[in-house]
Amino acid sequence: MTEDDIYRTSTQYRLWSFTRESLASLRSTTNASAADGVRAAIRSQHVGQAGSDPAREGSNDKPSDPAKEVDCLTVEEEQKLVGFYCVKAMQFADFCEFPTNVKATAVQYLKRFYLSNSPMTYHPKEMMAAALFLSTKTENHYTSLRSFASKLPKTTPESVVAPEFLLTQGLRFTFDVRHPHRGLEGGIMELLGLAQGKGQAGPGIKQSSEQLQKEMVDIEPAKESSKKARSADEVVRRIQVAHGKAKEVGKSSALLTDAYFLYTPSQIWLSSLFLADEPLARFYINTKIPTTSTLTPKLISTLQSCAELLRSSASANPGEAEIKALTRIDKKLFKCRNPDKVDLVGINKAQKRDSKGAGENGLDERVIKKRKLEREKSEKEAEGIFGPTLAKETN
Amino acid sequence: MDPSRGTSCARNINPQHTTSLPLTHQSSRNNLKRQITDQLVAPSDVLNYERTVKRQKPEQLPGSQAMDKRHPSSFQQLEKLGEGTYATVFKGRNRQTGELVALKEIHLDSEEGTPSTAIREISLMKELKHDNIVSLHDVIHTENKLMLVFEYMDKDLKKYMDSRGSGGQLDYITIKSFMHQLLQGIAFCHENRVLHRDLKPQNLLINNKGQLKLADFGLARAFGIPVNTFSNEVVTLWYRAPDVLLGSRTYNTSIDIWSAGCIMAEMYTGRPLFPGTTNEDQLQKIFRIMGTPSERSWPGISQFPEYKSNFHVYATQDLRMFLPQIDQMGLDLISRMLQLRPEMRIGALEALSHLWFRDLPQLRQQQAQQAQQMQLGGQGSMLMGGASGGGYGVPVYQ
Repeated sequence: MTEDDIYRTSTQYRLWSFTRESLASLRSTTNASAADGVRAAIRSQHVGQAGSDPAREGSNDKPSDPAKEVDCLTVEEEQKLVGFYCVKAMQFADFCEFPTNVKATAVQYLKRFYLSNSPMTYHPKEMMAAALFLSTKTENHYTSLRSFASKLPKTTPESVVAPEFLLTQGLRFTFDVRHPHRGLEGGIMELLGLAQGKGQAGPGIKQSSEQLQKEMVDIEPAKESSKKARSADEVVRRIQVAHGKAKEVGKSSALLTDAYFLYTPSQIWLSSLFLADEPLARFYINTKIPTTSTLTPKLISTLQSCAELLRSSASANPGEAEIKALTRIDKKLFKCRNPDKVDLVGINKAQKRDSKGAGENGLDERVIKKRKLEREKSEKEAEGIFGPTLAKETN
Repeated sequence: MDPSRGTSCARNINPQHTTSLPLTHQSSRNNLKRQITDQLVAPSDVLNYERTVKRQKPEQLPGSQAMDKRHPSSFQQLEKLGEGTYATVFKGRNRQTGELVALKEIHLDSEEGTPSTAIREISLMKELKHDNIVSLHDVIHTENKLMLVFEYMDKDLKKYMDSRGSGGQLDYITIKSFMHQLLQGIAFCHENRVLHRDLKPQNLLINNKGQLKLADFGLARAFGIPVNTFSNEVVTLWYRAPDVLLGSRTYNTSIDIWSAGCIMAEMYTGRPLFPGTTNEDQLQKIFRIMGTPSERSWPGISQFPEYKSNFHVYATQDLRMFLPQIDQMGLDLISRMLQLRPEMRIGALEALSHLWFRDLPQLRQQQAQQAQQMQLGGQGSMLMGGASGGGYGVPVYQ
């Protein structure tokens, strides 16, 4: 199996990859059905209130339909709002000093969740903490709920966990997110190897390590720096600069745009390198695929369109105009939120309470306590012997 | 969207569930239905999206199409197979298709939300689709219950061996077939950059077609190897690689190969090869047979946290003494798997192309013929009755 074959078996490819058109149509369907839901909920609430109002009884006056007046969010407004909370999630992750993977996965959880759910139904403010918490579980960086909640402002353990069920369902229980970061590190290691004369070209390419090393010095400079590299050492420095820039793209626009939905992790990291240092990226590709291959132009054009997307991304720090627009959207959202779904903590509690009374699932409190103690004990022992999380985990 | 979808979903709900919905306002019947479908969300709706937007061929997940229903009531719950702190496993039957399944019910009484072990297991099992890995058909989540629907397997390798009457020893053909399947499962995991970390006979499930599948990825702890899953049952050390026992934090795929080697030996003799009781005892049992390593035979060994300069020095024994029934080629393979130094251990793919497996197709044919004869003779299938929940991550109550 090639890496591509393996990727094609992933849920990211099977369930979370789209064309631009299918992505847009999915979002507009979600938006339309959420708007219907909001109108229906408001209508039924109104009917409920009218019914209980004795003054109205017997009156033939038909109340005007309040639902018709509701001004719902557009797809674009939803996108802006979700995007803002993705940025917020990243800031919180940084504040908690979570590793890149946790941060990146949390952002993708939010983006994936809001493909089939609307901010009008579930406010991203509430989903954000749940997404970040879930990603600490899936990315091997588990933090206890109490300490997690204490780090975020205006957040209680209950409010973090209340939307978890909704979130896991919206994610269709696929929690594995494939990121471009590891691939980039591998590519950079290969480039450094090539620069030091230790690299090898892919099948069908005849150049020797020495030839490749020499050619590398001759690569035309990246646009910004006008000077050409003169030695292998300078090539190494050039790779390091490109590495830093590409890494930044991977941590910002790659996460915030639709890149993960539209491109594979390899395409995303190669495009980041394209943005950072196009001639270097082209050289790298040429060491993998013969220039004569029909694959090359196809790959380059894909990378160019992905690079275009990554370049166009909204910055991670919204400006004043952006904030103004967001404030307007949030105000608008206040009036078109689905009233049935506002109190997630309350809904969650009610469900738990009801299920406890249901008998068959009603667990004895003693059993619950015993399990908890056992779990804590085993966790403690595990930590005692193996120590804290490994810095690098094979995934 | 298909409006009838909502109603068909609503019909699936048991009355108890329906009345338990929080209704703060007087609601119309339609509204109630809508609320119900909103809460069940997504499964059917999202599935529908998938069909319309997917740019690839539809998924090829055998069995999953048959399980369209996403409610616990779609399964008839049969006997309990096992119970642990994290889950209870039941045998179940799909009411629609009659197919047997294993229902792993995750306890959601945790104050931490869904247990991270469950999340990890679901996450991995959703990605790893292979003939030699137990398949996760479905995840059913209601507000208070999380249920993983696995394909049903008849028993785990431990029980299978115990049931064979010959002191747990297996015949040559079965050993070869099981080892090949085990290594295929391992190779697939490793290709996907997943370490199982807890391979043992209890985690290998066998069905009555003679298939072997890896199970229980959930208890492999996020930061290492499971130490203790249940208060009264210490996770077995018997299949643990020496580098891990020595305290290595940089172990890799080779730890699963060590376990496979131990399992191979056990299939020959019916007894565990290194049945240690403590970390130290486990190392000693290994060294007694494989020889005590030194800086000379294993450069850098003295740097391991658990290394002791006063390890009793044993000479290396011939593995054949412990495995009298093994043939020359089998001995060669197991010796390559049971290398003390992790970097010397054979990889899963390489092991699969070992000469020992060359006659496997031929042997399988013979076995099929034998099985046919046995059936004609009224002996029944090669696997008789009984069930096990061990491999689904919970110990079996006996």
